[in-house]
Amino acid sequence: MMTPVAVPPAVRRRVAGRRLGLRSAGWLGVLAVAAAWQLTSLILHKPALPTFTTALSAVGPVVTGPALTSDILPSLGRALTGFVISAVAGIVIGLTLGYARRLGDYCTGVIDFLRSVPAPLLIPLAIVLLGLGGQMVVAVVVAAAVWPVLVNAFDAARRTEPLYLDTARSCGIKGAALLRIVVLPAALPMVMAGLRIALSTSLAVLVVAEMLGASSGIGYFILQAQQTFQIPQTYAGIIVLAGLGWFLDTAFLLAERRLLRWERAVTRDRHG
Amino acid sequence: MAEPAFLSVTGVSKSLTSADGRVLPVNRDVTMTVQPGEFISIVGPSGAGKTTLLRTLGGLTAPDSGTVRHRGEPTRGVPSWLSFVFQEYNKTLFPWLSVRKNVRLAVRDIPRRAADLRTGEALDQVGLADFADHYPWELSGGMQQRVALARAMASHPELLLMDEPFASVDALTRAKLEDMVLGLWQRARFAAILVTHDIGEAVYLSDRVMALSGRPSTILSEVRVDLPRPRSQSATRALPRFHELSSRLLALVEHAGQESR
Amino acid sequence: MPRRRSFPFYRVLLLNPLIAIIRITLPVTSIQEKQRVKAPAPGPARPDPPALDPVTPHPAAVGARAALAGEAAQVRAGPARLRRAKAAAGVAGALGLWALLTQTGLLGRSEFPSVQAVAAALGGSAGPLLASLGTTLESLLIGLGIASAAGAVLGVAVGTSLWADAATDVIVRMARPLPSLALIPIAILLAGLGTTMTSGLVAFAAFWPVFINARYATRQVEPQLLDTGRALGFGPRELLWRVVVPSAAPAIATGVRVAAGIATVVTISVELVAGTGGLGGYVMHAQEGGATALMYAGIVVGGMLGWLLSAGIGALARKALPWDPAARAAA
Repeated sequence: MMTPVAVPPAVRRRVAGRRLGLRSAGWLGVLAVAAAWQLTSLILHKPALPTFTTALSAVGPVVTGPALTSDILPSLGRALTGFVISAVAGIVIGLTLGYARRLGDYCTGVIDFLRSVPAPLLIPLAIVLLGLGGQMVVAVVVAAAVWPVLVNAFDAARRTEPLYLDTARSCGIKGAALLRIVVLPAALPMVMAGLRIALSTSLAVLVVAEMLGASSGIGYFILQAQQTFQIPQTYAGIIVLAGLGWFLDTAFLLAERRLLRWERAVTRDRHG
Repeated sequence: MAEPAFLSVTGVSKSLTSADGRVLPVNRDVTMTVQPGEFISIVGPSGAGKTTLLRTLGGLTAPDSGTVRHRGEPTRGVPSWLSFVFQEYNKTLFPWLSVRKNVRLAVRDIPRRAADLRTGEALDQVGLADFADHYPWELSGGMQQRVALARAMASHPELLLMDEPFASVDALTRAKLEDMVLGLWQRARFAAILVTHDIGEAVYLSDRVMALSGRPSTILSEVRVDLPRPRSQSATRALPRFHELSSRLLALVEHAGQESR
Repeated sequence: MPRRRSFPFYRVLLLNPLIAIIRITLPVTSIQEKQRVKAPAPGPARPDPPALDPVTPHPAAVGARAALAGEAAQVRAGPARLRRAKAAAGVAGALGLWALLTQTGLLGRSEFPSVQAVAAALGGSAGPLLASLGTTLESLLIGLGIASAAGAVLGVAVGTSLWADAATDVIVRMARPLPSLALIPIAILLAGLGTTMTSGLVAFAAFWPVFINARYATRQVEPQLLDTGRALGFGPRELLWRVVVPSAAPAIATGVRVAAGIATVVTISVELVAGTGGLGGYVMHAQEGGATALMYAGIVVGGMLGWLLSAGIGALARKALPWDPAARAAA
């Protein structure tokens, strides 16, 4: 039984107050940025830079108007489709190549080169091959988003703890089952990290692809708005996109937290 | 009382704030003195706050109450006549500096020639003169800890504080390092405070061993080690008196450990 | 009493779920202590580098990668030279496969030019290609340079202050999911067309990874290293320059590497959308003119650009940061 020692109330108050202050400091920071935007737009008085409040108020009509079904949802659909395809392809190919060391060794050069190609550079080619529209957009998204997943899966599979593999093999597990039971779960943390990047990559490439080769979607919407000088709507589109990105990212993080509960425990143990 | 003690610690208490905001009292009313040239060890159950106490003694953190005085004067910050050796060498040797540069940091304030001389001397004392231009990650654990020791020695400290310095190395290296510290101490006769959970080590090296209670910790009692010097691993550890002292301390620590549960 | 600047361990879960989740997802193991050769060797045994450079999304990755690089030594992947040869053989094989497919007509001629056609395009159009590359590089490097410098300086500055760090927290979390590419129309509106606009947008986009990494690494400086610095008598300024900055340098290097990729994508996207020169413009014009082989040539050059940038920064990092196991391993 520990001898109770009085913690000076002054210390306690200081600690609690500090924590509250730090938490609210973040939001103060955002407020400061918004205020700066407002002030700058009022001072500069350029039509190209509407006030923060104008831009914000344009979001409502955009999200509730026809743009929802003609642009926002299609974009969301394309991004998610591309992401899912990239995820599956990346994980399957990455894990297989990473695990099959000899085969993987031959592929590293090709993979290294292909993933270095800036994805937007493929858009004109995609247009030639698939024409304009949603299909092309999804193809480009896949071409860009598959690499973070693949590379991370590849590397994680290579680094699978040999002890896990030996233990599994001694239980008679081999081949595809080995991949499924040992390699995949062990690689999951790194794969998740790659998936998270792939998600944001998907959105980013989606926007450019739609700007260049689609007649619907958020990217198209933003570019259209700018070209028809609907400035507040341009900003609104960007804000909607950012919101979408934030929402998807948060959803992903929540899913990740649930999936990686065991990893947290292990990491926690290691850190004591 | 003519001359004030070399180091006198009076009623030092310290609380720490944990990551989730809870305030934990760690040390409670610690009082002790250290004479010049003495070798002191502090042992106690794990989690008792030995490291926190050492950091407070060394001036890395200020006590919530109580004083730490050097020759009568309260200490401020980390004094220059004091050196630290921490437990995890890979977190205390700067990995971006070579061995030599790491050691030299301790004497960066004195003129260049003298600094170079002291650096070379310190490296010689720990037997790493040949590795002066290597980087810490190229050396083994025991060697890295020797570099940490060299760095502590280079500034010719009056007081050496060591926080479980040999916990991260294997048993054989540990014995060698203990003897190395003893040799350095015998030559330079600085005062030393060693925090350790290895009671045998404490008894082997020290003149006095303090037993710490569980958290919030205070000095439970003090055991004077009257074993003859110079000491040797084989001879001294075989003495019956050694076992007697070790057992007494072990009982104290175990009791303290149970108290804090 | 001299004011001690403290670097308390960041209260992750409460103040920054972002960092918390990343820390959770990336396995961070303590660096395995390896018994090195005791006698001075001609060169210390290097661990086998990982075959591919995994994409790491977050500053926490530095720790993870360092840990993983340590384990890479246990990955028996064969000597580096053999693996490089295999990779090259793989590339040759892929080219051969492509040649086969295009020769036998399995892939339609017009959309899939043969290897020779692309090679001829590369050679024949070398001049214009290089010129476009130069234009792209100009905006890219200016933007990347500004972003790296600003990101590093601001990141460290913000990281040293608990309050500044908390204040920028939500801003960073909101800026992260915003694709800078969506800002292209706005950038054109505000700054017209030209190098200034492109460099500006590139700088904005590339700033974040460097800033985030620098800020995080500054917060995550090993407390014992700071203690050691204080024990050696370092004041706040010395602590910053002698401990914090070298500690954060590897993470900043990683950030710059990621930023380079982003910079490349943004530069080329601007060129594609705005129709200004550079590689993007080159490929666009090739597409409009129906010159498929030239398109492929442009894409190949783009790939080389991306690859060389990444490899170049990696090599620089290895030179400047010899102690960082991640830099050493990412050969």
